[in-house]
Amino acid sequence: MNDIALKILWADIGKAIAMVLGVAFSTLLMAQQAAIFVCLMGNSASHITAAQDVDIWVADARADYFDDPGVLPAALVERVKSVAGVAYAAPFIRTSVSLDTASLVEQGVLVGLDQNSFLGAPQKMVTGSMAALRASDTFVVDRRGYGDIWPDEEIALGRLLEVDGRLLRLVGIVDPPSPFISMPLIYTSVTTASLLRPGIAPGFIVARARDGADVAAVAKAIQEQTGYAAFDKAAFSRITIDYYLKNTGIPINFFITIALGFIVGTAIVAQTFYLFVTENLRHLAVFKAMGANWRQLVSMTAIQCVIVAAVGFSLGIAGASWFFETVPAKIPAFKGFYLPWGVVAKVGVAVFAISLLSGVVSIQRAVRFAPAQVLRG
Amino acid sequence: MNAAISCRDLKMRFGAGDGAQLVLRGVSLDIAQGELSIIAGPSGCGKTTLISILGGALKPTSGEARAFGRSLSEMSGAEMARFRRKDVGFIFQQYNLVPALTATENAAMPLIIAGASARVAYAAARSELAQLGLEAHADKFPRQLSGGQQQRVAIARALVHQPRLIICDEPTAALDSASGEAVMTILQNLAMDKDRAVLVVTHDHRVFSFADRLIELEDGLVRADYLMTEPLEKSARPAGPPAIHGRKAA
Repeated sequence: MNDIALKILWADIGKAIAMVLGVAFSTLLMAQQAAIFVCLMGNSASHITAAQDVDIWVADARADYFDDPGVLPAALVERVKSVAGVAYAAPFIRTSVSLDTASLVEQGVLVGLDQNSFLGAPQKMVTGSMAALRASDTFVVDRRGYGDIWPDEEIALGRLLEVDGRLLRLVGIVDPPSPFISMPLIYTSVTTASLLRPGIAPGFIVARARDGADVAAVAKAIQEQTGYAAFDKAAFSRITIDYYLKNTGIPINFFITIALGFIVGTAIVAQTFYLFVTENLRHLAVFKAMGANWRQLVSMTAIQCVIVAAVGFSLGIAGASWFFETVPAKIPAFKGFYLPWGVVAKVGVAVFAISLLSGVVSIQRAVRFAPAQVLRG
Repeated sequence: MNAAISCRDLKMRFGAGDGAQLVLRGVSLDIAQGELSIIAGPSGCGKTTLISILGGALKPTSGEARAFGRSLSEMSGAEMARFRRKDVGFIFQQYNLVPALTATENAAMPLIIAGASARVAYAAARSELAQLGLEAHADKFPRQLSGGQQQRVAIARALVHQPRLIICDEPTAALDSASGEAVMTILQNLAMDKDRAVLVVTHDHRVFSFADRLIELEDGLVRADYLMTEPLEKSARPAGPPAIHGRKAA
């Protein structure tokens, strides 16, 4: 029967293509938008997850996400170091600065790192080294920021950039995951940061736990002994992402687009499938008159739905994959964006649900059709 | 007489209340195996309703209908489907072939529905098609066949699962006289099988002479029931009801 169902499906090639394209469009829209949303939210915590040498982030108790650093006393570093289980702790400065460039870029994010450990620095260097930041008035910039500050120019160290009215020399380029805020990231030592902003206080204290220590327990101990908030990497990432989810319009906008993808896909597929089944109603009724039971009719429709869903879903995911393979390489705003497997799986469930729902609605008439009807013409 | 089908005081009402319509008002008849029976009558007399009940596609409102010793009136929906699947072959006026399927696939459908493997079903279908002279057309689609050829595919489909009852609804209505005659000859030959009954509903007076039995329905009742004693000469086939050429059934 399944073989017969597929022959009937592909015989009406126009409708089959319409249904497949409906599913493909729906899949593309949902997968692409959901993946961008997931990547965007992931980027809001990318600095936290990319700082592989940091186990614990200590923050002001009122700080509720990474891009809103508090003001911590410099002496807190020593208090954190004194907590059992902490191997090392260092200040971490994060503040916005003005840039004087020939391009349109006027602002950047200054990241001040401890010049002994460079704790919290991104791992992937394009050229130069973090250690060169030990020299005064030097900076390292992220790859994307370099392109924004010096568009269309070859990578070259030694360039000068005026940051908050002070000239700094470029000693390295890093390639961190895309941050949520798309401003150039200017990495300096804490010393250089203090020259730019005299008296600047660290926004966070970053700490590394001793080997084998329970990071969550150490964070709890820091919180109890210092009175400041302390999070392990996962917890700090989570509250940062939660902040953007709860306090921005981003989720609702993406939700609307994804929902539209679902609704449009359902409408196209359900309508076309309903027409398809309606036009085949006579044949289904003849099968019923020959003794086919409702299970066989539903099975025939189900196999048609599953095939339409599978082909449409494959095309849609192929389209979304092509997008994430090509666009992020060409458009910096999409750097690091990808198609997560979780998104593919959830969209797959939604798409198969759309198709099966369409089939269930459409087959109702055939199931209810009295076999005697076929003799009535 | 070896009765394949029998019904007693069969009534069928459609609708309810003031709009209710009594289509069959108490039909009683017996259809024997090895017999080609034609049910004739004006439009709306209840012919289609009667064959729907006798074919296990409709439950009567009251009365008794039996097929091969089993009560159709008492069968559940699933039992009726099983009866149709196993014991009944339908031939429809408009052939009702699936355009997407070849002649072989169309003819194999009853066996596929009954759960036979594709290999077995297609082999049986090809064999039936060959017996009906359609061997060369087995892989053609309905649109590639003439009306007569399509009706023969429909006959192959009705026979492929070796049913004991063949029900034909206006099998010649869409055919020219030569094709109609060919189809009726096939049905007549089928009815020679002593284990099989063939029941034909038709308006087509030209084919009455093929019947072993002619049952006339009018207003939901059997008006006349004739056993046809002598086959008519081709040239002498009547334009009107041939009641005068037979003798009244007992």
